[in-house]
Amino acid sequence: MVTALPPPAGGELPQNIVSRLSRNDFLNRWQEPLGRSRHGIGGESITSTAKRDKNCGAEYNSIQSNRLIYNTLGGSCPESFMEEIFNILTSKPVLIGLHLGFAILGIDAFLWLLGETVANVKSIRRRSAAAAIGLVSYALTWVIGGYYYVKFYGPLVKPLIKAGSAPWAHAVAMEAKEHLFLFAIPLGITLFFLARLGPDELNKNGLRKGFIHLTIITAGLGLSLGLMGFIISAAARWGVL
Amino acid sequence: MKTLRPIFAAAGASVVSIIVTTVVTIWAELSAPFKAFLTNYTGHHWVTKSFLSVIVFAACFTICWLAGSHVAAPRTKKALIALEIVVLVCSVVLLGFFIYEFVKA
Repeated sequence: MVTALPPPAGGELPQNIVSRLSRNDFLNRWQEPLGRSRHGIGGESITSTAKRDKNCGAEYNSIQSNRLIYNTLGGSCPESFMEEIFNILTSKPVLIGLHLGFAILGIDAFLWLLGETVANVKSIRRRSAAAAIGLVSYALTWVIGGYYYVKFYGPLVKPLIKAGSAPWAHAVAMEAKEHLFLFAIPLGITLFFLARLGPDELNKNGLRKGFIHLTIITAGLGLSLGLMGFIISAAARWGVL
Repeated sequence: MKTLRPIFAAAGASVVSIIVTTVVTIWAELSAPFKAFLTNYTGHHWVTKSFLSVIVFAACFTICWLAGSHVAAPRTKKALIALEIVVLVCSVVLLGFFIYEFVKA
């Protein structure tokens, strides 16, 4: 379904949008035919937009929210339910939410593992579960964050940060974060194998202290990456002000 | 000991993987042709580095696994200590490098 919205009359652009986009930029996006981009950035699907579109009238007007105007103009109608799910999952805010969510889950799991080891708990099953959850969560946050980084961060966010008041957020925090992330998975795998040893074996082999130190480093690495993520997000907001 | 073998292999592979990632990252920042070479493989230098770190880890894990059939506790303990030192040093080196690059520019 490819339709084009008529351009808005001059001087009637919503002021809150004009303040964020230049007039030409806004007009260009307004006049783009639907069908260019696959998904809305605000997480609002094009199918639901299209359905409401059919009703026209007041409902149509109500969907002319700021977010919809400059995020989903230029979207195409997904052809299947699975495509719509994929569109939602690969939209910017959902990707960031999943990246952050799995990172928090991973850090929590490794802190749980730390508690189990420090307390010398006998249950190998619980320690293995904590290490496995931590490892899988770190792997998922790595893949999701990597997809977001390559698809959205480079073309959309990086230029904003570099042109903003804190360009060091990209040059230092993002550059360090993207590469330090590659340390997390090997550490997680090592912890997973260590977690399979019982407390007696750990003590007998003299590995308990090393296990504790490595768990602190892995959880600490996750926390420092989270701090860098906060700096980068904040810098992106400063960049548009 | 059987249970120590995967720990020794994972710690050894982690040490090599982290060092390779750090060296390749700094090298790519200092040499534009090398960064372009990395980009050519997957379309993004970071994706290539990610694949490289996984491949290096898998290869070194296999080698350490085969080499550590009779690995003893002291050797495993040394591998863990080496991993702790390497991850801390490489983190500081990478962060310091990017701070230096930003200040220098």
